[in-house]
Amino acid sequence: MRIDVKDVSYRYDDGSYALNHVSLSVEKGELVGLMGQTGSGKTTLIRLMAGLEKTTEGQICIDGQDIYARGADRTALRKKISVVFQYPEYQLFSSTVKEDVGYALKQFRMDRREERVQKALERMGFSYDAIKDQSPFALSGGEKRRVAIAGALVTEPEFLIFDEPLAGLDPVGRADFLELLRQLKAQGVTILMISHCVDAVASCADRMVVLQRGEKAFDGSPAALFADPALAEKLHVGNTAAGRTAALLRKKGKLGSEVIYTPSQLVKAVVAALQGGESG
Amino acid sequence: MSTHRMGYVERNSPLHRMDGLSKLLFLLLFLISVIVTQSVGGFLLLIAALLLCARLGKVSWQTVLGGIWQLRFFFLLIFLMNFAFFDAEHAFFSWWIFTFSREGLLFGAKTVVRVLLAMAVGNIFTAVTTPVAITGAMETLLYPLQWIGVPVRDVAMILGVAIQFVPLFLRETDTIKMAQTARGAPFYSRKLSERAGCVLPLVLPVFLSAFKRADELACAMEARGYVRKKGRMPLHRRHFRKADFLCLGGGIALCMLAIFVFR
Amino acid sequence: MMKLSYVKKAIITAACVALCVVLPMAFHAIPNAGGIYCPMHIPVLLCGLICGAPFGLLCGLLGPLASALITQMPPMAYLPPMLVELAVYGLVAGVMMRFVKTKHLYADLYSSLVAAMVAGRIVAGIAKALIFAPGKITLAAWAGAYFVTALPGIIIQLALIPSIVVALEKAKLIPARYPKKRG
Repeated sequence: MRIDVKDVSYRYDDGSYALNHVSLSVEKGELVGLMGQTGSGKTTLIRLMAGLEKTTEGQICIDGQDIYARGADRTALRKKISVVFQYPEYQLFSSTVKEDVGYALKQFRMDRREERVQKALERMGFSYDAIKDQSPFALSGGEKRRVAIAGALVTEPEFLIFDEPLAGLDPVGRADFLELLRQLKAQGVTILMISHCVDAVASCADRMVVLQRGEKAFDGSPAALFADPALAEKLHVGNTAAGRTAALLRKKGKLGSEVIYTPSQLVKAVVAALQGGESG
Repeated sequence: MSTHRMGYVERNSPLHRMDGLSKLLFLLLFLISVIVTQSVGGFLLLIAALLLCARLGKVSWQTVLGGIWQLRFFFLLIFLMNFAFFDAEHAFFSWWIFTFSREGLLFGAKTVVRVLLAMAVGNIFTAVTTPVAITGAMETLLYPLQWIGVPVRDVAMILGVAIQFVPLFLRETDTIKMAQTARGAPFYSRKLSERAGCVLPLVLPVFLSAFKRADELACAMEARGYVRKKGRMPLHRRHFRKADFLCLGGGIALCMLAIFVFR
Repeated sequence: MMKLSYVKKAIITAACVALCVVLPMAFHAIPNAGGIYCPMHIPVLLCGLICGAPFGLLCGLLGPLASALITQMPPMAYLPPMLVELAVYGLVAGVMMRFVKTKHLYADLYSSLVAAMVAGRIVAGIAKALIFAPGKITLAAWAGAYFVTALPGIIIQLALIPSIVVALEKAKLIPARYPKKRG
């Protein structure tokens, strides 16, 4: 599924803009990290892309079709796109986990409901038989979040949007979530993720898009962004932990000028430097 | 982002700059005048006062008349109930339990006009007064009740916290509605039964979220040593200006005219 | 789980007053939902059921007042009978939960809700008759008509409110009315 955002603007009733002439594309199977300060328009953009709000100007096209064109079937669109908003555990409402996870299947009249619910729950690390009849409200915070995400995965969407999925997660929870993203990407699911966690985004995104005051300020690879530390600072993205460590080592003259922003890149560069030092 | 109409419209106008208490008192005096007025002259005076308020507050006619069209069937009902059941001496048509008369027609029309005036002045008040100013004014009005044993401090605290919660809950409700819509919840379906099915997916998460926030705030307050305060709540000093006194004077004048002249 | 403290009851009441302002706005966006589901009734009834009669009464008075003043829902003309109705809801719901203890949560909830709704709607029907048609139509006719037209809302609230209470108990946000003994 390819999504094109074509010169989209969104204006509030008082005339101020949440988004101002933003254009971008997300290719099938890509994982795009969407970053920007609070109030830069990220959540508005994902609501527009999921067809939950209408643009003031511009178009949102899915596989070439304008989602707000006359006759466009937005129900069919919602089957293919799943959105996980921030703190999704606050959106649970059914009396059992099985019912809550299967809600979208019932609404979209999809078949093989029990099979899909089981698959989604097991994917999130649950034992289906142990969890299916439990009340979602009696679960821990982390379990609730995993149930909520299962509710988004159950329709086997082609496009997944996450709004701050790492907020409030412990380090193990974060690692598990990033691993889930890698698995989904490997299956060809297109993913758009809003996050303030630059380390997480840099470690898994194919591309990064940065919004600033409702406008697109950067659209490119993580390598291109972190190659220009001044730009990254100006966009309030900052640097990854690996990038900051590399910068410190560079100051001490221990590393070259290669762009480093992930732990594996840092390790590789340090090992190379050590081996160069040993032979030299 | 979907916008929720909290009522307040930001402008720079004489009414916007006035104290919330003077506006609330004017509203109450206007409503009393609406209830008491009987003659056509009185209604015309009230309409003139309403138009002046709209002008001074730079409030558009759409805002003044907001919500009135949606209640058209209600207005029709109260007009007909009064027109058809008024116990008049000289009815021009009677059948079974129904009695249609000129007095009933006038009474029904006056009742509808009263409701319209009350709604319109309420719309203007909401448009020119912030929620914080409204709650401050309400707290001041509640102040005398503590002399008859009403725990006004607690009521004021509850009101203040409630107003702080409103924008937070609005945002959460918006997010929850979006999330459920993304899962196929048919909030805008033509079938009533389908819309009925959307109530639980919206309302239950909203309540859970609200109660969680309440629990967190209460724990934080208790952890910081909050205890139920005894004794009288101090009166928050108001700084009335000339415009506020004029507003109050106008409200009292309207009320006096309604009671003694237009009754 | 321990009983709710005074501070917790007060803040829950504040949350319910805020919901009296927020829910009508949320329902306003759904066609015809507000008139049928009477969204403001839900937080008031819940407040009475959970926090007791005094807080329920307060929520029933402050909720519609704050909502009318801030958002014009309900319109000023509707406010007096609505204040009466919701105040009675909160009060009666709290009183019933205090005295009705059947050892079954749903039985307690349904009996309290039905009593509160019947009492509130009859009183509100009388108040509406006095305001909109004083002395010209029999009070019984107005109260009866009002009660019958409100029936769909009553049924929906009876289905919804116990679900909310059970969810709140399961999430440990309110104490369980009849805690299950361990072991």
